[in-house]
Amino acid sequence: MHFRSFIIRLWAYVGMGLVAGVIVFLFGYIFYKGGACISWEFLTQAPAGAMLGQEGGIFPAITGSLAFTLTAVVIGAVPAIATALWIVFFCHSKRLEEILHIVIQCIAGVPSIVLGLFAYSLFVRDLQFGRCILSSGIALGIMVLPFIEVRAEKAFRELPQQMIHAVYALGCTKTHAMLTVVLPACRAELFSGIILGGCYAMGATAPMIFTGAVAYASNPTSILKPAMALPLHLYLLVAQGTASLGIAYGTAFVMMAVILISNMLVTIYARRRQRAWKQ
Amino acid sequence: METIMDVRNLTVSYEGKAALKDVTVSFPKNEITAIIGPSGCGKTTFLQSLNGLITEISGVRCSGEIQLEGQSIDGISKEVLRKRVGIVFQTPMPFPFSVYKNLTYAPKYYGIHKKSELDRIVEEKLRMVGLYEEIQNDLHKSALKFSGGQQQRICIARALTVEPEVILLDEPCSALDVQSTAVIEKTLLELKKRYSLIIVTHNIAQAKRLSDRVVFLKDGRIVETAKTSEFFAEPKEKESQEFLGGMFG
Repeated sequence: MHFRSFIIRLWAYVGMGLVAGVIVFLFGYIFYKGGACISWEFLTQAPAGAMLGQEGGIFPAITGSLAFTLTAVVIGAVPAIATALWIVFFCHSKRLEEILHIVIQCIAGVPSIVLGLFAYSLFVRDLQFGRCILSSGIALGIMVLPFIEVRAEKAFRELPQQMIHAVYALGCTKTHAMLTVVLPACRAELFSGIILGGCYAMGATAPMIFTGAVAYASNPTSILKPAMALPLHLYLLVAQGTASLGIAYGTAFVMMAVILISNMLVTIYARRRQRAWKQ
Repeated sequence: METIMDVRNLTVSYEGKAALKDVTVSFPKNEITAIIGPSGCGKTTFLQSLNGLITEISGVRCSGEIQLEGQSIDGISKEVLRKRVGIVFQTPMPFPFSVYKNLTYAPKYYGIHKKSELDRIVEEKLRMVGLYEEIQNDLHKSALKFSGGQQQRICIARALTVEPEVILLDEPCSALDVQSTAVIEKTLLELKKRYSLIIVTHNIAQAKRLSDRVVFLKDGRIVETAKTSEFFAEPKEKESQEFLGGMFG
């Protein structure tokens, strides 16, 4: 018995150590390798030079990535939250609910390159949007939709049913309950789901390769124009060979930093809100 | 006896399983009626049927008739019915906003936006539940920061803001300590001057202290309905005698 419990504890500790070690090593390695080329110039200037990224910086890639992410989050979050609301509060059929869950799981299971291909053929070619932030945003939006929906649905389900009934009990409509109690009460969870979905979209390369991300572009001014993106820039830098590997690490550094800072801000916000409202 | 609500042959079933069977009873105006009975006898289902909240639960079927002041509730919209028949739940359930926002939530929904009028409603309703003096300086504090008893009184005050005719209370003191329970009971006795109250309670002593009439439910049907004094002094039915004698419940 003692031996079994020792093995289980050992397994737990080794597992925890491995996971923590991998994370620390991954971040540490990239920050160590990429930190060398981080400078004010790198962060604020456009790429220049004969070879991509040889001189200058990655500023249009940063602003482009933010534009792709914002578009994706708006396109993905609105239907995701609406779907979650409908499933939890309006759907009276268990069967329909199950069907919707299967559909959402299927969307989550679609490889991102296939989403890119779909957006390319439908939006870029058939609907003639062209390669632009909107086309990529739609592909990325579909990709993050299940991610946000699952989190939103969980948040809505965790809200005490009696609180919603307390709104109905005052003679208010369901829609009023959704807008004034459910959404504000779940604001922290929804916000964190959206930001994490945004981080997921920011790191995805495949859906934007054919649809809106390009190697060279100025800062985005319209969602109907293409833009640079950090993950594609990173991919192109690595593809160029060892000469631009240092800058590739610098780009990865920036991406990781943006994602880490976003995650940290969301966690702090969610905790503060929780503390403000819960005893 | 002037009645406010009349229930005729009400049967409610959850996914084919009957929770209430052929219930017929009348609730007098400006009195407190206590619904008592052992766990799982259908007390909460009964209460939720009276203001149509039961329809929010999937798989529920209802038959029979419920009248509010002589009018069938089938002819009243869900929203209007719930405005006229308010409910307070077992667990204090304030919205995660300030006390002020909790109490102005419904008035604003019904089109009152004038600050002075909203202030008046907040003060009046908090006074009615005996809470104004206690928390008048904390009206903009989160309602979740108050004690359980205070939260429950905030919920009662919130239910009063829509000027209901009937207030349903689903074991409102079961999550509270003795002191808070005493304060709430005092509040309810005050409220019956203006409203008709129907309270579900597990606590026989509370039913005895508070109510004017008692409805004893068991296995989804009414065993006995009587004036409180008569019910506790001389229960007519054998099952009532056994319940009061502590043989089940």
